Amino acid sequence: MAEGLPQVDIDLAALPLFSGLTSTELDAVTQEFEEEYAQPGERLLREGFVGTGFYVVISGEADWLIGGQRVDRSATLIGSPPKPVTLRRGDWFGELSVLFDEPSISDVVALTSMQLLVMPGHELEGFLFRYPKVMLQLLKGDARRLRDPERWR
Amino acid sequence: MSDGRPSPPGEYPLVIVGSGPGGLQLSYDLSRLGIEHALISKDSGPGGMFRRFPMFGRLITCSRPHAIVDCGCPAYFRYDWNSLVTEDETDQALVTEFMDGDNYFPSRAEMEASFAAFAERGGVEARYDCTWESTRREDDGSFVLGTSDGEYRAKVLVFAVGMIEPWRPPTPGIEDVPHYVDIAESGIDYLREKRVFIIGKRNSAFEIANGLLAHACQLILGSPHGVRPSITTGFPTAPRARYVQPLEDARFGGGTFVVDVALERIERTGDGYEVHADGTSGLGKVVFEVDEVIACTGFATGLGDLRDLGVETFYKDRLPTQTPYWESASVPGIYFAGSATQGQAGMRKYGWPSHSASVGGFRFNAQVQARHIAAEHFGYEPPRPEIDPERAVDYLLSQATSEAAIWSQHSNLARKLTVENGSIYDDGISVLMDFVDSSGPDAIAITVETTLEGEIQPCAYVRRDGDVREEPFDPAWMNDFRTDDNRARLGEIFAGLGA
Repeated sequence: MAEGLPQVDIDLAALPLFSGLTSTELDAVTQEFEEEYAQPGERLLREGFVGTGFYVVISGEADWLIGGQRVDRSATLIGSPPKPVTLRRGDWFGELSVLFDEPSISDVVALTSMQLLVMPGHELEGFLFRYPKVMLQLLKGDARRLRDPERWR
Repeated sequence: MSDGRPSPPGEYPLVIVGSGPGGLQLSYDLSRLGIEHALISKDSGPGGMFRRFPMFGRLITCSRPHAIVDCGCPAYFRYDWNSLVTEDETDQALVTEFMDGDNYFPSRAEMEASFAAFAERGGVEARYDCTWESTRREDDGSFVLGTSDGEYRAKVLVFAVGMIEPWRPPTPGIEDVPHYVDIAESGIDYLREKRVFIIGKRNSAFEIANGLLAHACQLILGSPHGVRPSITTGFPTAPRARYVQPLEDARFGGGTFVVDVALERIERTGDGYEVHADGTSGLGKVVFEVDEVIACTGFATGLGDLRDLGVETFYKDRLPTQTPYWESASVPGIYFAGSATQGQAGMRKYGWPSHSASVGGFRFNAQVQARHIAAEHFGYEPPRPEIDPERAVDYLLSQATSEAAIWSQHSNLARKLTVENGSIYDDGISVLMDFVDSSGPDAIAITVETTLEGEIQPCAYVRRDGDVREEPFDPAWMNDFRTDDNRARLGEIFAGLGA
């Protein structure tokens, strides 16, 4: 009975990334992910490492760090002073290094105990094509981070 | 208690609950480190879940009777996913010793016999027929286990209780259908010539389906997600080749159907069931009329009253949250061994999960965990053999080529060498995640990884001046990484350490 970790059954409908999906689609999407637990201080994304995954925060908080500093990655693009960013329920991370197939440019470190959904990086692109509503929400969310880095949530 | 059985109730430095392969391996390793402990089990003999499962006789994991290396050497465990690990070379490959030679998948009975032999030859003594009933914590921080034989006190507890409690999703009507574990009790005679709907498409579902091919007249496997077998994903936790015959039968139109559906409800009819579902890949709303339904929807760890003590769980309450050394993340002093260690997923490099759901992976977790517990709680100082600098490069590449712990736990366990004061020390097999995320002197930890292209390659994680970077190496012919190019590159990396 080496099942691997069983699939998670969490109310995805309440998360912005999955808004607009039918209950049947949510059932299927649920099984695309695995659930992961992180304890405070645990690194979920590691700067400079390849082969990472795509994460969605179910509960808890995490810091976003570049070079060990808490920053908003988008602030560096538009010349604003760095702003600390805390990832919370409904936020996602890891998609850029996965989609660009490049090492992660940041660390993500759990501030509290966390529950997350995680998908192997190489499965993200196919998943987004299968669920274009999720792709649209991801696009909107990432665009919002660029447009308004201080209030993107 | 003077009934002649070992480990009577009383005070011990540590107590292990469970005599399956996880508990046996940990007990063996703790004893070798000189850590006194009691091992208790509700069963009447060793073997844990293998006293009942797998249902259809043979495992999904292999033990190759004839490998490219000798049975007695540590590298052999790369080819034997089921034997527990001993120091005595004559007792390595215990599972194959009991196999009949006709199949490289051991039977349940052969597994059970091998665990009994491991316990007997390795001197692993357990108090059987002793059931853990309750747990509490005293003001001094020690734990008290209430058992059917009396109370045990210890400052460290390890629960190796398997992951075999049935778990069902909240689908209306599913509570009235048997679960995988119920079939072990009932047998399959009642399914002969029946139309059977199996809920799930993971290993347990395919095991049941495969076993029913010769019994049932029609099989339907249904769950929301499509099948991703191990031969496609490359992950050892996906449905294994051993049981995917029903998938081929479905492709050939042989009476098996594998459907992607979200179950809405299950209704009992006069002499069968109606399974109401909605297709997740274009099938639409459908109703399956069948004679029997079996829920192969997963398992949970039997945690008893540990939640009341503060043990936090996740996965819908099915697994305890754990540190990199498989200690409860919320109650220090409580550890988990065996298949529950899959709750620590590790690095997930290239999506690879830990291999801790199977004996092949968690037997090595136990070895690492024993050293960790001994050092953290009992003052044990692990040996740190010094490595000749001239040999260090070859040693690491040899480890990447043949060390079974590394091959069994890709990206999760690694051989670690530390450079201090101009000398190189072997710190043994280590948890990679802990190495990568902790500080310390310059060091290298080498493991193997499977890339997205399916290539197996070594990867060195190099800590220098407190920062850890990854140094992947190219795959090599026949997975022998001891190449001139690799020697040259690893030599350059070593040269920059400890300066």
